[in-house]
Amino acid sequence: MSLVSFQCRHRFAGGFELDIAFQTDHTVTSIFGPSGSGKTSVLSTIAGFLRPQSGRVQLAGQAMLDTARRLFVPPERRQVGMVFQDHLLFPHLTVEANLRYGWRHRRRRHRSIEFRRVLEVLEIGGLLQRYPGSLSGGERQRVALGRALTSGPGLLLMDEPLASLDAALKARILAYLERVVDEWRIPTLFVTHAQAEVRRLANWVVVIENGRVVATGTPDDALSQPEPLGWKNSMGPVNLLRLERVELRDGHAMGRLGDQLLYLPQRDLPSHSPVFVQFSPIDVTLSRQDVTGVSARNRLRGRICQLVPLDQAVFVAVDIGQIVWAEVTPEAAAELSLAPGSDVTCLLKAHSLRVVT
Amino acid sequence: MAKNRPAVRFLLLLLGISNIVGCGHRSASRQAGGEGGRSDRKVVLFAAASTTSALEEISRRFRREHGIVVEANYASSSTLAQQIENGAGADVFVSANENWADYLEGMGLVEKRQSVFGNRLVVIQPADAAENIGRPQDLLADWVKHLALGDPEAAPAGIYAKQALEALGLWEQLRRKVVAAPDVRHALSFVEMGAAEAGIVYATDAAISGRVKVALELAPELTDAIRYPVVLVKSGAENQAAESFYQYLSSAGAAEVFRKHGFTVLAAPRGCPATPLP
Amino acid sequence: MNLLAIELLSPEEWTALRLSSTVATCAAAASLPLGIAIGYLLARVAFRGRWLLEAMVNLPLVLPPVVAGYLLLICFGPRGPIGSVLADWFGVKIVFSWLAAVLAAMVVSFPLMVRAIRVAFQSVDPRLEMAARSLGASRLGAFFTVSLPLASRGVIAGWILAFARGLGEFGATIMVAGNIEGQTRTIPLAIFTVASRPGGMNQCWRLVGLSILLACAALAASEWLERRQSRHESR
Repeated sequence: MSLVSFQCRHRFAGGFELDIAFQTDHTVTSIFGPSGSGKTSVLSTIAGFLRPQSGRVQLAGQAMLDTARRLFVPPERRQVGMVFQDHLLFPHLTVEANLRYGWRHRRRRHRSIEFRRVLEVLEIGGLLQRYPGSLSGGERQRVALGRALTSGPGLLLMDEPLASLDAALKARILAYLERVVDEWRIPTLFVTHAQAEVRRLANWVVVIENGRVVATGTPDDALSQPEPLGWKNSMGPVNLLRLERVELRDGHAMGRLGDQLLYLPQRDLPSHSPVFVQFSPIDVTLSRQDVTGVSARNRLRGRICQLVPLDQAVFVAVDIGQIVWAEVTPEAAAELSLAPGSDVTCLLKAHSLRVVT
Repeated sequence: MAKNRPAVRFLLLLLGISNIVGCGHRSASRQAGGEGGRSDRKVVLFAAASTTSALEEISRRFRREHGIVVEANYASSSTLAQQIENGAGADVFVSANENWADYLEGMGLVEKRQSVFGNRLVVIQPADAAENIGRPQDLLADWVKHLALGDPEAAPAGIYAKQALEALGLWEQLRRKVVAAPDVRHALSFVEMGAAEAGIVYATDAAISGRVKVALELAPELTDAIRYPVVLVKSGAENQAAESFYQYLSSAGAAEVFRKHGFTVLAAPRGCPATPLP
Repeated sequence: MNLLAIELLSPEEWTALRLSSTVATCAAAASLPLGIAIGYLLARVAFRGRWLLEAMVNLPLVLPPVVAGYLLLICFGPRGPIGSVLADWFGVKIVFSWLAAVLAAMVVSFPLMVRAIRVAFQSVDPRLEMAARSLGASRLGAFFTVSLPLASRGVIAGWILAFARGLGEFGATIMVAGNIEGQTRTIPLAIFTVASRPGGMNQCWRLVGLSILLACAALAASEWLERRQSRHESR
């Protein structure tokens, strides 16, 4: 019995057609795709706000929607908690009243979620008497998350929860999301168009484009398929490496990846864990030989596992223990005779790395 | 700015047209009012609502015989008197009550005055009413919830009705049932619709409606003589057409029409000058 | 205080004021539930035949009030479809009573109320109700705990507007409630009655002044509330 079983076919007034089916057993599943691909409609259908022309939705084995049998469970009885892109906190209620709103309507769920624990995990205890209008963007999103949690949902739905936040805030809220997942392990379905989020949070990805599913799988698998993602539109892959450990060496912070070391762009150790480093494929230089005497501090050795030739560039996937994508010109790829199976070294400047916690 | 030009031009044109039309209108009414002393082919008549049918027929006869158009405005005498007081260009005024004629005379707006015809008060009920009113005292019964009158403070029919009821000693008890209609024709409608169980109107009003029946006639002694003064208004004094219409109203032909509609015709002398106030 | 009051207005004028206030208050209160329902419907739901509902609601705005009063009289008079039922089954005669005045005021002020309430609901994000329902609130629960409180200022503005309009209603009132001293002679009717008397135009200035004052106060309050409503975006 899967956590979420979804099938839906719907034609919108403007002509856009949705034809999506997927199942997932994983705790955190991401629905990934560019804007306008229909991701939000999937969430709306699961939540019960969109009634498709044809579809079936089952949550933890319970049927919520079955157009063939004319079954439709109204949103308030679906036991899903929803976090919206623009939080949608009730402006006329205090933070506490907002949080208690869900609490009032909760029913028995798989797990019991304690009100006070929610306050602790999301660190919103000090905001209780304030009104949403006076909160910062990050605080609002945390309260929104808390409100969805206090209603004790069987499934947590998040619609681009980080989209309206700036970069620094995104990272911080992402950390809170991870905490929530760790603490309560509620089945979660979140919609996003940012690969970094998928890589950080999701165990499973459903990739959607133009109203259709184009790939499903683990984040590494699903996101490595270039065509459906329209890399031509400069979405491209993003490199996100998870560091097992961070240590201080010779007065410099270093990250450990298996038996390889990574120079980080700062001297002090990042305080939070886990630590991720993010960088662009364009910042990666490839070499067929061992190199010395170059300024780039980082040299990561690995084997090419995939080549994706596009018009202006060739993307090279290198397996160094985790996948690193490099972008090179077609001429360079030809000159170096890059092919799957070749051993290469990835050169990376420490300052191209962005430490994300 | 260039975009607005056609719109501006259109607006100016509109303003210009309305100005011309307005001027024309004003000059017409001025002529009707008699300034300049030309003999115009129009009479502006203000007359009490209760005289509508009779005066319309008389106007038609007048036009056939003299070729002059009578433009009439029918409303309650109080409203009309106040309009004349405020400068409305009326030539001839027919009031349902001497009071309003006196009022205008007091303002110096009356050129000539005569009493030509009169009326009687009747108590009416809806034509299909189950119970009948035999005597005025029956109006006190519980089943008569509302009594429709013309406004007892202003409309002549209402003033006379109140006078009659006071003379009968019934007014104080009946006043909380009284629905003061804006004019006597409204009072008639209320009874026609059955909204009011009874009403007091002129015999002439009751005569025109097939949906009410006359329960009883109120004795003329209960009130002052119900006379309809006909007034030639100062502003119509120079208007030849108005003068001839004023005379026509006391002619035999007019008397015939009045009687036909249920009015009583008074033997008043022709062309009496305005009587000075005591 | 009492002495001052006696000097300000005559007994008939006080009666008219009292009657007007009662009628206008009851009329606005009675139309409120339906006004909220229809205002919400027109603000949120697109349905077939919506134009018909809008037309019906707005009709009293463009119809001469006397015509509205006339139609009410036909309907609620003892011979009319509704009036006869009331008379035969309940022994109640509604025309020429203060209830008829309330009815007249309700009919003419309803479009104003619906207009203001509709604007109020349009300024409330409909997705907030979605959020409420995702948290377990029923449709009705979401409406009462989220949308209505957020629209409350506009709703009150609509109420005040309806109150002010009901206060000034003449044409429909005089047709269906009649002009009965002490019972249905509201301020506008009292003004008309006094003004109809010989030389009466000069006597009614107190009532006229009172009418203007009340109308201005209500308009100002309603305007202020409506403006505060539209600034109350969901943040």
